[in-house]
Amino acid sequence: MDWPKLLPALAALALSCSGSAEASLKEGPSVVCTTAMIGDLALEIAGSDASVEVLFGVDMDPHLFRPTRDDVKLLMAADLVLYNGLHLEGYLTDALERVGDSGVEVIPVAERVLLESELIESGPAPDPHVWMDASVWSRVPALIADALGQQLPSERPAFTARAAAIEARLLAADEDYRRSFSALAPDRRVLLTAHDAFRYFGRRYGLEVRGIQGVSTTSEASLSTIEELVNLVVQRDIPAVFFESTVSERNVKALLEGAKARGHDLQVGGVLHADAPGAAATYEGMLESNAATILTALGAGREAAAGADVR
Amino acid sequence: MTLDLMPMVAVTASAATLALLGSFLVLRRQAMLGDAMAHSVLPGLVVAFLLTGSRAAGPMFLGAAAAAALSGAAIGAIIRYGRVERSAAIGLVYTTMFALGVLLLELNGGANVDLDVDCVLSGQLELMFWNAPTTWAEVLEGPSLAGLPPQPLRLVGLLAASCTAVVAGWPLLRAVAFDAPFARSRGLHPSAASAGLMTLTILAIVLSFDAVGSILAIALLTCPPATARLLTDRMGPYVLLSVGLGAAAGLLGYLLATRAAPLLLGGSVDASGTVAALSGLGLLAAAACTARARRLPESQGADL
Repeated sequence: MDWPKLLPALAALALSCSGSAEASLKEGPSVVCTTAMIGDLALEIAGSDASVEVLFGVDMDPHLFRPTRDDVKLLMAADLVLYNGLHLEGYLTDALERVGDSGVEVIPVAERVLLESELIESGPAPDPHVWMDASVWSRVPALIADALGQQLPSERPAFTARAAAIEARLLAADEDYRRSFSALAPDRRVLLTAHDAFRYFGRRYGLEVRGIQGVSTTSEASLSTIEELVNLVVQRDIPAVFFESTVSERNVKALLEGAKARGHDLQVGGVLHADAPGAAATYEGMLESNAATILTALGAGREAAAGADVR
Repeated sequence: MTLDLMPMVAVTASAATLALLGSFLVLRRQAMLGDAMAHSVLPGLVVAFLLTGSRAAGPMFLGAAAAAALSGAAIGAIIRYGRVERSAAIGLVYTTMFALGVLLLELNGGANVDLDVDCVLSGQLELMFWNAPTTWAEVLEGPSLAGLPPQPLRLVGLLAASCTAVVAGWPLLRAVAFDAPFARSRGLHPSAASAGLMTLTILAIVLSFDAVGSILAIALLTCPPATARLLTDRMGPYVLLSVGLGAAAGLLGYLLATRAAPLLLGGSVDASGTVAALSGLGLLAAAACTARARRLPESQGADL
């Protein structure tokens, strides 16, 4: 490439762009959400009265998100920023707080709706996977409607009405899952997954949860953890272990082989969606898909588990 | 302004500093130091986390700097007393330090915490936005100064310190880079030069991890000096060229990622990655050019 010619062109480009103000195409306040679990609710509540952008893709592991300049521009130009909090956003959290300092309304959704007594600690850090408990997450719509109502008071009744509809759906789903899971045989209620994302889920719906990998999706499982879990699987006669759509399958495969070596027929219960909706597309679809996958694999015994979606 | 000023200051200062200090590392065949530091800081991060119970930037940075300083001292000691090659000493120390970090993490049940360099010190250029004052009244009022990200200022300070040190110690550095025994016989102190250089380099690496991310820091420590080394055989021009190439890669890479990419690709791309790729391509281009030129005169003294 011809750098001497390109250099002035780039400089001119930089100057021409730096002064321009960014205007939102859509009418109404602009909302930026980090996760789809927040974004799906915000999209429905906003309707056509506000524009909603979601930063993390539906298949994305939030731990691996790298913001580009466009993302930062979006955040700085927003009227309202909704994020999960409890360290889910990692080092992005500092930047989000600084966006808040620059005058944008910034709300850590999970931190706001979760009561202090409900917080699960994982080691010294809080567990951020609050959305797995539909009863807790059913408080989010009202929070979003209130924040949107402050941005656009004239539409407050519409926001509140849409939020109430979502809240009712989430509470109904929560009731449904509670009933279904309590019908499982008590010794079958063990959920073995790739990483520790299901503790809120397990607490609400009465399952003992064991993650192979800990909360971080980047750390590796130690040999002793795998061995301990293989022992657990054999002793308790656990029928199935689950993959997660945003986490590597390697550790789960190690567990499967460990159990096989001990003559225990451990099956893959299917793919769960933990940190992003993945193939389930929406937050509610993700809840539904997870519940159905777990119920099928743990409930109906070996035959059903073997027939479940095996990658 | 808001989005670009501070990242551009940070990437240029970081690139110039790393290229300046890296040019001495490349001459002394210690270019792997940056890579080594990315792994050696882990025990420091773990200890800082265990002591404070949080991943706050301050303690993490101090932990990393302490671990890096320890590694630097260990590498120096092994070279001197272990009679092994420099690269072997670096390899020995960083694997040991990394293993120590993993062990500490496992022993303290910290496996549930994100504690690797990429998570803790993964500075991201794009996140250094700053609501810069646009009028003199705002400058005088001053509240927006409070929102100034600290990393660019630290990097500029370090750049100034490094330039001063290199200019002041130039005769010593030049002598040490080529012939340490000769330098010693002339009454100079090679070990003092080494220690000073190592201290500055480690500071630059850790600060850059925190500001621009580890991959970019490693690339900028090695690519611009290696490129400059291909283009000139004289010490002074080599160091200057290295700094210039580093700063140019930083600035151009940032502009490419944030300005040219939206036009060509429809959206901005990761700036750190673009800068690193650009400095790598620069090296490739220089290698291609000089390979052709070198084929003509058969034996030209390749040593400086």
